[in-house]
Amino acid sequence: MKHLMSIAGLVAVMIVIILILPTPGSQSGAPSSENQSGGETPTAFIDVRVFDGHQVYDSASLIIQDGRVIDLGADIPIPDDADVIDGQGKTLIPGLIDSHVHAWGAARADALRFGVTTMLDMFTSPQLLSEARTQRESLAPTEQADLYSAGNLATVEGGHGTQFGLPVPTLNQPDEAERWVADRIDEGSDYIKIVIEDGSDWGRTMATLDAATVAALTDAAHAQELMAVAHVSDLEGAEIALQAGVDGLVHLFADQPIPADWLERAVEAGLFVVPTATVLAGAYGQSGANQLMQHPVLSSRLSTGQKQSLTASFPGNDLRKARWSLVLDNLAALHEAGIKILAGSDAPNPSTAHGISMQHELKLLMTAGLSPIEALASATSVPANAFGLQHRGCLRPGCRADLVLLSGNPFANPEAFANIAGVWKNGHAVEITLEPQPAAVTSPPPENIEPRDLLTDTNRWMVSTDQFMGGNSVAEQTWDDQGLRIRGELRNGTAFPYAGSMWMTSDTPMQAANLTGYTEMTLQVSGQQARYRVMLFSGKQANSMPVMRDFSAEQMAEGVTLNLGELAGLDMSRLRAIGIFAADQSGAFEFIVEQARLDLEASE
Amino acid sequence: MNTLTSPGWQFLKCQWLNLVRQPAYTLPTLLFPVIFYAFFGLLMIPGLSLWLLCTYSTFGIMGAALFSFGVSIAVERGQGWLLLLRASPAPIAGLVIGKAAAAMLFALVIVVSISVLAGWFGGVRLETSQWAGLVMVQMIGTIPFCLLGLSLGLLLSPNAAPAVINIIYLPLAFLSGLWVPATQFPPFLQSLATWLPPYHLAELALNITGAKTSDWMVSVLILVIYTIIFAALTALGWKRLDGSRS
Repeated sequence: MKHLMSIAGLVAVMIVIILILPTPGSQSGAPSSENQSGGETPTAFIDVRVFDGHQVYDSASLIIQDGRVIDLGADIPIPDDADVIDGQGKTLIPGLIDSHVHAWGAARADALRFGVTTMLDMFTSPQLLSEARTQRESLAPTEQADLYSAGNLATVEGGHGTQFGLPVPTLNQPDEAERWVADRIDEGSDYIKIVIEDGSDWGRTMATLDAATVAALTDAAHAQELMAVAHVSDLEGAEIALQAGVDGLVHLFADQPIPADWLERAVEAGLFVVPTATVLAGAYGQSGANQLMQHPVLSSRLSTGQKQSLTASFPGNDLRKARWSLVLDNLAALHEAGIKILAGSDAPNPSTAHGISMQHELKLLMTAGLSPIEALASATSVPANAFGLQHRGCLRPGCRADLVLLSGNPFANPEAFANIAGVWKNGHAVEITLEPQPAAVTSPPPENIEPRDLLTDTNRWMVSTDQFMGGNSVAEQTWDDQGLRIRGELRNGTAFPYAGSMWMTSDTPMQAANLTGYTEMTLQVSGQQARYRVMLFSGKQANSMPVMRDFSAEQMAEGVTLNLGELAGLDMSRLRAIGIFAADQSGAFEFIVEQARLDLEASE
Repeated sequence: MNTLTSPGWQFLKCQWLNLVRQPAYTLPTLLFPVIFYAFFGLLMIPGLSLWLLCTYSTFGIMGAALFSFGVSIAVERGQGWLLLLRASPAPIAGLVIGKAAAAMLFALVIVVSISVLAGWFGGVRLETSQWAGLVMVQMIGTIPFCLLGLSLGLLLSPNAAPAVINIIYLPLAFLSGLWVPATQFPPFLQSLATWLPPYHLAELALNITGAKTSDWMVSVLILVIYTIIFAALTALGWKRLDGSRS
């Protein structure tokens, strides 16, 4: 009897614990609602305009539960226990699919804040893939967009894609293709990306895969039931890709107007194109960064990292400005010919940022002649179809509850695409948790500030290299009558090798100091290095991303003046260090910092 | 109080006394999966607390079923206890039922303990019906593993059984994606996982908690097939016992 009591007691305790285990409502303290299906409380959007991926319902209800859409229609029953959201004057669209990104770091969280719920990566470290795969299969609440990826890209030894310092498995011969593709499958690639890039459109010469190898890769991918997509930048590359039978191009090419017969054959082959008009805009001197950053809704969702990549610029983009109209003409030609267009940003390349750049992309697609519905389809149902992504890019019953609520009607007024009122991922509202804005300053600003020659603080300059980031570059510094002399060697080992010296704002290295009064920085450097990078470390955390600016040897020799007020992401009230580095080209280097000054506006 | 005199209850009581009087023997079965979940599910693999709740609770009940059942049967067989029971009027079904009930009791404690960690430290939020459903699935899910343990305990020599069960237990758990999600495996291991019974029990748990949607009918079917196979093996082992081999 005694034992029966203890066992029954144990079971009873267990049952009580089960009853008090935390439920979805427990954080807010709301009583958990009864529901028969055993899942989460449904959410019902009522009286809302809905784009289901194909058509627009002017006034409908949409019900989501357990991470999926369970019902959509004009006159459907609303479950009694549903959380009801009144969508009057608003529009629900499927979560966006960005069909060309490079995802690492905070990319997936950054994108999700802008309603991009699925990202198609076109080259990243394969180590990220297994976790991404697990997450995208799950319907559990998440603060990250789902990711599909090519993993490593197919390029020739020394070709495009190898310059970032990441180890890339290259191939040179058609007979290596099968093995190469099998290796990607083992790494978890979802599709194969092939680089066809001789650099000619960018004024460079680069080694690239030949047509036979491209064809062999495409065949090997198709034999394994993987899709093959190609990076091209000119008609010649596009022709190789088309003849090889790839499924799509992941850039638009704009070296010349697209010939009619190419278009005809591309349509016949069912080729799709991810034009990445946004990154081309950046490369052709048409960055949309300022407009995007001034948008009241969009700017509130931007992180410092996003601002930095958005305001970074492609070297030499001004030189290509005149050719921009050809980009738009070719885009329009693709659209008129009936080629499937997939919206993609190529973030986080200079002048783009995850998530927000899809706004720019939609705008550019509409500029080239797509209607708002066509533009939206290119970011939802079209890529879902092209890449065979089930239950994504749609809002019909069974689809994932990945959705964006917009204020207004984007089909009448496309500006409304940017008026994001809310984002839901796997049926859960996404919270915007950005790093808190700096509230108070760390130390009072120095009184009576005067122009400051940084080279007089010899003990505040410290050698700094990419070893900090796991790289292998080395440097040493000496002082002489010309200034600060830095010698060293840039070695591959990290994405962007660098080595140089940093001026610390305080006696304790990397401790923040308040230098708000200064508005300009002037640098003059002489040396053999082709490119220099200036990094300004600031912000609440010592490890936040520095603000970076690149300069050529000629610019640096003449002297460069940075307007500190215009550097997005720079927090002068918490300035930690200013670094001058040799960057870009591996090998030995030597340069002399001849001038480094902080100035007030009044001086000159 | 008829139940109190039923043999099934008497054997459950024995098992209970065993737990209370010899905690060193049974506690590891209870604590191991809970500690594992705390280490891997909460501390080392962040962001998967719900997914791993499902797989580590499967891992836990598997251990309870295989050890409190298979190993103890084998040990008792080695001691001649089983033969003695067979010679006595005690119904042998009582032994099986008692041990199965004990395994389910263990399963209950294990799943609830892991759930407490998941809920209070892992940020997992489920409807009460889902929590209860998870516990039910795992308790019922002990049946095929009890039968697997029983058949091994009967078929193998008493000395070999504990070792063999240990050898089966850990790789089976790992290959079924109970420690690390099977989706992170290389493709050939992934396809192997879909043939293993723990994978499908975990699949049901993932389904009921909403961590993953899958075709639960298929998983139920495969588990039923395995249950039949293990039951047949148990019958075979029982027959051989009849043939006076020990």
